[in-house]
Amino acid sequence: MSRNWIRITECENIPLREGRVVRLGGHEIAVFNLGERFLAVENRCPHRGGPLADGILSGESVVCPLHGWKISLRTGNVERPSETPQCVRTFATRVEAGTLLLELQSGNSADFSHSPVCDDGTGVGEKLPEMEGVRA
Amino acid sequence: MAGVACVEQILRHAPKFQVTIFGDETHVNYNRILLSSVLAGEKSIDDITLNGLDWYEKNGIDLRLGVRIVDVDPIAKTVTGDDGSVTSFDKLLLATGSMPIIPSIEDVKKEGVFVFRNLDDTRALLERARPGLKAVVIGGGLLGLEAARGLQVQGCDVTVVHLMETLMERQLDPTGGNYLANKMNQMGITVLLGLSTTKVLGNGHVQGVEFKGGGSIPAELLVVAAGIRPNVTLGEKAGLEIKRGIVVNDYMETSNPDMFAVGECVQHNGICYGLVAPLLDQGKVLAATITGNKGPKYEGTVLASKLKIMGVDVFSAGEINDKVDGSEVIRYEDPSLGIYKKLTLKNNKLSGVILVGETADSHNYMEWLRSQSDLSKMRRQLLFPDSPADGGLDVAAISDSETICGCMGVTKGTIIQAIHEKGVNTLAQLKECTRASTGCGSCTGLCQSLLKAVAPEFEEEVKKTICKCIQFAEHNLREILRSQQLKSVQEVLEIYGNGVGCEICKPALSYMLDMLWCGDHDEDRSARFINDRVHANIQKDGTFSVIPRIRGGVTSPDELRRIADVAEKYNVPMVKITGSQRIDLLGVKKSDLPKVWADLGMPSGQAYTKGVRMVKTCVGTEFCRFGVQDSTSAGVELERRFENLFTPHKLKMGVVGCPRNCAEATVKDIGLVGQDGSWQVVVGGAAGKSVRKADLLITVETTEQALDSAGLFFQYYRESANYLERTYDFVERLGIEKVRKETVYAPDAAKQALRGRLQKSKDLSYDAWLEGSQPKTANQFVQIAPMEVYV
Repeated sequence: MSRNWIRITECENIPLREGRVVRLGGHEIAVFNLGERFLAVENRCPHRGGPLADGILSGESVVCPLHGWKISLRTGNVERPSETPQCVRTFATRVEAGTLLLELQSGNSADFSHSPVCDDGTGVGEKLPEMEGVRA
Repeated sequence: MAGVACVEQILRHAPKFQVTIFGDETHVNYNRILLSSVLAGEKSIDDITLNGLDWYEKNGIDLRLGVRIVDVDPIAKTVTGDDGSVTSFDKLLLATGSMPIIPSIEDVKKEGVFVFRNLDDTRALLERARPGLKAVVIGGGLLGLEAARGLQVQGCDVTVVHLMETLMERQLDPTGGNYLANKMNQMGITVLLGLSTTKVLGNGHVQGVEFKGGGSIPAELLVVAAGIRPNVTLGEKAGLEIKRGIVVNDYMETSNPDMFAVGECVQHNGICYGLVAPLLDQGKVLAATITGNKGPKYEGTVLASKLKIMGVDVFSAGEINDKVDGSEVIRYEDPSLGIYKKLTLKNNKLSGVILVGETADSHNYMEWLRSQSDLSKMRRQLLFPDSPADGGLDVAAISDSETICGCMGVTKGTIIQAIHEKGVNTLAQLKECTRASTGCGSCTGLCQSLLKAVAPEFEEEVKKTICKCIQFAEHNLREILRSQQLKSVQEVLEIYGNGVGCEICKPALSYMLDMLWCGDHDEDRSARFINDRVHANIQKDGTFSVIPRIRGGVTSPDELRRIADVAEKYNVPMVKITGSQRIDLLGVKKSDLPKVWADLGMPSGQAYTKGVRMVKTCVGTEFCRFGVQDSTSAGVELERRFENLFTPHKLKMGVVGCPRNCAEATVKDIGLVGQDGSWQVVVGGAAGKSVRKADLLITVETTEQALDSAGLFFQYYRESANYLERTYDFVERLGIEKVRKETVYAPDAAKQALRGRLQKSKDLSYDAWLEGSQPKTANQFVQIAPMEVYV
């Protein structure tokens, strides 16, 4: 599996504690500026495909703007609803001379559009009920 | 508190006693150590009541509140009350507590000078404290600092004056004291050290304080918290042996076999305790002795203290003097984070601990102090114990015999037993059943974790805070932001919250800052929901809906043509007439938003935000044959006055030209209902998730008066409602009478102030769609184009 660091953009192009979308190879990656570092995940909530880059950050997690699912940007796992066996793909990031780089692994980029394998080895599970109490 | 806790223990041993309790306060016993939480608005007086009147009744206790015992006759074995009553006793238990020390300061008896010791003091301070008041607290110990913080939360401008060179010198070393002083300064409390107050200035009422060697500062309120001393007056009258306190032995007996003493008034082994844990330890021993089960001994208590100030974590336990022979010091400090930890060890056993800025591990340290376990194997992890995977303290790792609640001496085993055998599911039940977490409250988190892990139907208690990140009620928080001049969400989270925030508190704080500072603040878009970052409403597929402002629902052929052109040019999948007399363009891509706005040439309709939505109108006198008021003009003007402003929740309005109510003004947040020769201004209506007919605020003659009344209510709602509270919940919660008193029937000065703040906000507001050509953040509407192509 070959590794590929792609130069993305200058760091200041992603505002502090916000996310922005980068399109690579026809796919969307959400990149977040956490101040001390950047974290990147695929820009698609496992629930209903919401744009995670548009979510509000809560520490190292992002809350999907559509129905309030909470996703860990570090692991890609769903933190809310709890015990959800789904996850999103994560990407390693690096900063070099003020420029942000993303790592793509050509081995799994070929099936980029498919569901990633979560930490516990299970793939995408059943549809889960919508979260309540999320603003319109 | 100590007395009744002891009686509780006595009843457990032998319910045969006929108990009479005298207390000079008029309130039933309460948790004195939580008075600072009452002052800080975190708890109500009811929250800190320990035993309700029914408890006294159930246990057959004769409770005499508001009666001060003035004399004790040790020969006749009677006590005399200040009401003239004489009561005889077989056994006498003195729990007279302590009294505040009033240092010798000239003119200290002035109006506006308080102590902070009991419920009445707290009430008096709460009554007096108001935003902007200059308050000075003399004393930088636990009580003084907590009083300072409480007053600050009430909006006062607070200075702490301390005699010593560092704060809390009895619990902290000088370095710890400095860290604490920095933290207090950061919170906006001024700390003056090494100053001896010599005189209270002012003519009748306090106006300032003067220091030794000259120098003075202004003060409108002065709190003296310079320490406490045992209250031994009755002990003296009873002829007991007194030193600093009433002397007791290991069985809590005084020099008279029929008299006992417990709590802050006693001196045991040369020590007078002023903290809660010893009182309860003593109570248990005393209960055994007095009921004829003499045996258990009181052998002193390891002292631990925790500063109860939200956002300022300070913990100290055991020996603070590290110069004792053979002691080793292990220290860690990070000035930027404000964290200081110091452990003192002797022969590999913990003898003292000081924590400032980070006290999550205080429980471990306390256990090590109590058990005196050998720490040689843990030397590498002493300052940074392994954090369990779940983030919280791993409750499973605690042994059953370990104490969870130090104040009440409740072990983990006792709690588990209560959960299993008595069906305890909530913290309230646990408190009732075991008394755990009813002392200083610092073990509340642990108790919650235990309940969560063990209780089958654990219910978390709903506290009226915004969310878990920031433990303040909203009205307190608003006051804090205002008095502390806090102007950024991140700053608030760092000082008063968990430093992180979430999707609930961030938008709420953003709203509060905007409402308070009207643009004169650091607008942080990362704390806003996506709708408020791109000024459009996100749809299920990640596209957005665009609704331009059409004031009062009145449009023109030219506008309609532009809307049609935009819809075609950008392939808008759906064009829809909304329920609010507006036009919605659905399915617009984020990157097209600035172009769509420019082509429309119309301002934002704010249909995506918690703000002023629209005014729905009927045609009124202009065309309608029944109309009695010009509702369209009034509606357009109403919308113009409030547009571009934000509100706690969305705000919809309606204006109708006659009581037929065609534009449904009586189910809007604010409605104007035209009558022949007058307007009715109605508020708090709803026809959404709830349906509610609006309440009549006032009836006025002219359109201008109607708009003004609406403005008063509008601004009052903006300032006083909780975030995400619609007007119909707000009006119902407060009651329309109160709303009227605070708005249209308020004194002229108050009304003028509301109008002034509304005008200030309005002057600084702007059409959000202007950001289309002048983005507020980098790449606000567009994706990032990568520097390299990925193949």
